[in-house]
Amino acid sequence: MGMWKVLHIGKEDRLPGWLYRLVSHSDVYESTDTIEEGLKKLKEQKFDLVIIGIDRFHDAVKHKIREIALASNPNVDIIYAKQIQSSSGGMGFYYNASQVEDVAFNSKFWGIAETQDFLSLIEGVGMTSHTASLTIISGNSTGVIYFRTGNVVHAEVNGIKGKEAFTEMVSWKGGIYFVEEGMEPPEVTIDSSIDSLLLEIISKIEERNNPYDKFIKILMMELPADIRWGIVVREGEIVSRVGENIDETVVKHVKGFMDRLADVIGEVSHANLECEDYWVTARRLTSDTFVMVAFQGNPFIVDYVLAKNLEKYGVPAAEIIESSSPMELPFEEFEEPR
Amino acid sequence: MPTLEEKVEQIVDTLGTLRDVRGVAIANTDGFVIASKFFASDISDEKFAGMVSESVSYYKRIMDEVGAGRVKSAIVEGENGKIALIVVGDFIVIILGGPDLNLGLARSTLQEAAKDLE
Repeated sequence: MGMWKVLHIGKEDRLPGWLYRLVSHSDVYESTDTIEEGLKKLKEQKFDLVIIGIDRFHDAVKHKIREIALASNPNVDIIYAKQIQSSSGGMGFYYNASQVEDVAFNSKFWGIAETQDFLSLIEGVGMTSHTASLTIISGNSTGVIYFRTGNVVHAEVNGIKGKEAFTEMVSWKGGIYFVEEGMEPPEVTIDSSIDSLLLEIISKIEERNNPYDKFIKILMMELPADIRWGIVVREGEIVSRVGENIDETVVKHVKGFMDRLADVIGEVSHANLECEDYWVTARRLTSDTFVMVAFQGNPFIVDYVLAKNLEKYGVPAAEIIESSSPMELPFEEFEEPR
Repeated sequence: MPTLEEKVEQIVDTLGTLRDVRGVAIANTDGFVIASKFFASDISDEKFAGMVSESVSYYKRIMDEVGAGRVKSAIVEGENGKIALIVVGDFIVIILGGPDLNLGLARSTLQEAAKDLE
């Protein structure tokens, strides 16, 4: 076996530790920070591996480093190295030199982008309007999302396919990804635009995180009145809301009002407040949770419908909340209004 | 022409005839009780007056925050009783009832009785 000779052109401290240890144990290891010096060394001897810092790319191309190294040894491996600093630490990347030059002088882009937002990643790939696959490795899972003309048409992860797989991947907090253009989906399992898909998934995630969101939306649809706003309050905090904005101090005062009256009439189950512009009604769901609705209409009819709907949805919601973590809520138990 | 004091007494008496009424009070919007009548021995005058005063204060704050305009009325149900109140000018008329108090009737009687205060 012959001698193994390595030439590094670039700042030595930018080589990852493991690579430095590897190459520094070569039979011959030369390192230089300048292209001129690198050229000189290339002309002096044959190298088996040439590592060029990618920040020296233009100088390397200008001085035909690749051609000179190949002329000296046709079997030489030439790679560009890049150490990327990111919020999660540094990562080293190594590219075949001929491919880097090919990409750099052609009408396409290739690279690495860090994002902390999965949805931005999806939108970014979708915006290209290309047919491509996006592979994401996260934790113990690897998922693939396929795009056709910019729309998501298929997703697969852990044996799950379609929207369910896509939803699973949306919940991932991080991972490494790569996009491969021209990859055709093995099948089509998703048939909606990227915007409506994202909207649907976000809505599902929000509902999963907060079951009262769905609950209050259903209530609002059922009530026979012009609803201004509706909220669910748990332990004094608004946990779900629909309609116009409402200041949280209102909740504090309503709670104070109900608590104060409780001294005389026991735990308040229901309060109807009439004011000039609309009615505000509050009904208790559990000991620490109540629903409040502001509306214009007949308060007695609204109250009747509200009470009926609380019987229908309120008890399961309260039981689920008390027995499960928000991420494990079985939404199927909510019956959609007919 | 009856005096304000006589009107108040008359309203309290009228409201007191409703079924399962345990107390009636008329307070000003600052929460000071002007007149009251109790039919339940388990609630003290002071406790009811304090409740009226504080709840009026909360009620006003709610309406200020919600920005829904002038306060008109409220009905509240608890596990042991019910409350109906109406705001007329500078007065708040409050009925405290037991579980059998008909809130719809209480509200309409309040509205009728309160006309004399306008």
